[in-house]
Amino acid sequence: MKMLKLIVSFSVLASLFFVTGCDQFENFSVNVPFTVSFADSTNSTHTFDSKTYDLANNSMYQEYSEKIEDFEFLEASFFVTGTVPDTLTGTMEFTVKQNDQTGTILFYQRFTDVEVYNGKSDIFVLTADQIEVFNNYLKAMHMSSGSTVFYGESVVSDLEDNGEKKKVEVDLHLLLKAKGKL
Amino acid sequence: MKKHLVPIIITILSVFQTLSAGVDDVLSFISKENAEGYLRPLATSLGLGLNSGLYHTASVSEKFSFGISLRASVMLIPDDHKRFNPSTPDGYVSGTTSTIFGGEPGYSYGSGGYVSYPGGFDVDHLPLAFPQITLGYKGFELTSKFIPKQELGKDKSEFYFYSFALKHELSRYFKLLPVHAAVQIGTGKIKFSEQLEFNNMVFNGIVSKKFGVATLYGGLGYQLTTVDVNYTTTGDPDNADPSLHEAKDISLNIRGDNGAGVTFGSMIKLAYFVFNFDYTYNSQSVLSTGLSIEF
Repeated sequence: MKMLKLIVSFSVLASLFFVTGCDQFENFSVNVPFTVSFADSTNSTHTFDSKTYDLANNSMYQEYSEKIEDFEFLEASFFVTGTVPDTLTGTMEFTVKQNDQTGTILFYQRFTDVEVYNGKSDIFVLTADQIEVFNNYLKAMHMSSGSTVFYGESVVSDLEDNGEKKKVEVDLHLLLKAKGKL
Repeated sequence: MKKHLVPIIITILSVFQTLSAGVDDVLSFISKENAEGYLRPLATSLGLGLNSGLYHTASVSEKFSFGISLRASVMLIPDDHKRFNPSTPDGYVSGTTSTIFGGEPGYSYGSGGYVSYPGGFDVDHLPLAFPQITLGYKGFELTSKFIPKQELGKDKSEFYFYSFALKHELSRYFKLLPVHAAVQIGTGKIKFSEQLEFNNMVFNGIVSKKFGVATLYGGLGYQLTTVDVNYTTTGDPDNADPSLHEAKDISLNIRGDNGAGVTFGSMIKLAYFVFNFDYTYNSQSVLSTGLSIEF
């Protein structure tokens, strides 16, 4: 009888061993990257382009959206993919807003006296407040009627006023991190 | 015993279902080049788990013997099994990123944007337990553990596993040996899901020495575990990794890191009841214990 109790105790212990093993493979985290491309040409001193991006169209987001419990901003960068002429000097400004042109600004970054050329890249440094606003928008996506749309603007200004054609093509890359249960 | 085995088996299936669902979900966005590094530690763990608890003595009865036991093992995952060096697209450079046992997902940055690698499940140890049956006669002992074919989860994924090992006591031919010695060969398979199937072989050399009701035992073993991986990537034309732009059927074979290892253990036998505990040194350390009824 004593040995039977030992067997039962061991069986229960082994089962508990498993239950803790079960939980290990439920929690996941995944990065969700996306890119917004801007392009504009001008004969004056500044370029401007705006785009909207719906995260709901992102393949990674589609795969995991129903399982996400926490969503946060991780990193953002820009990468110049083409210029006319080969090198320009000016001020680069990037703005990302909620939803559309009238939406709340999620972040704004300005890079002054920048040499703009194909391959020029830099990382955005957001303040803690900007990150909090961004993260609150991401979290709201999972509440009822939360929007998944971002609106972005790219401006290159203070270009040389020589009347010649200038063109800038630049990608804004964003990386988000999602956590949840599978 | 059956009353206690059924809930154990149900719990085992739940673990594998959760593990299977977790793995299946992350494979959709892994390139073929990175699937191997990501999954290899899992192949190692499951191979080590399947090969654990196959013996607790080198001695085999001359008369017919039968035993039924419950075996539990835990594989301890070292830090170097939680990271691997991913393959990156041209123009990208990356540090290490997480394996299936690692933590945060990694990423690298280049002209095409952010290339993301899957995160792991933050696993420090992987526990497994199995019921096991042994049959012995005239120096030969067959050990078997298995779960028959099951359909798990909403998509009814097929799951089963089996493991058979045949041990032969060599010391029965050398009566003057101060210890018992045996050799053992085993094979097994885990059909994990529609995407993963593990195949396994093991060769063990075993020695043991009895001290009253206690026995000390040890073994040198060599394991070969491979996993056949078949999955389909989700085509993502916007992905910064060109190899993930189109949906692709991926097939590869991954070999685990569980090669040679050494085991030390002890067992206590009181009447028909046997309790044992052992430690295996391999690329992942394994702690194993078992409770048996042997006739």
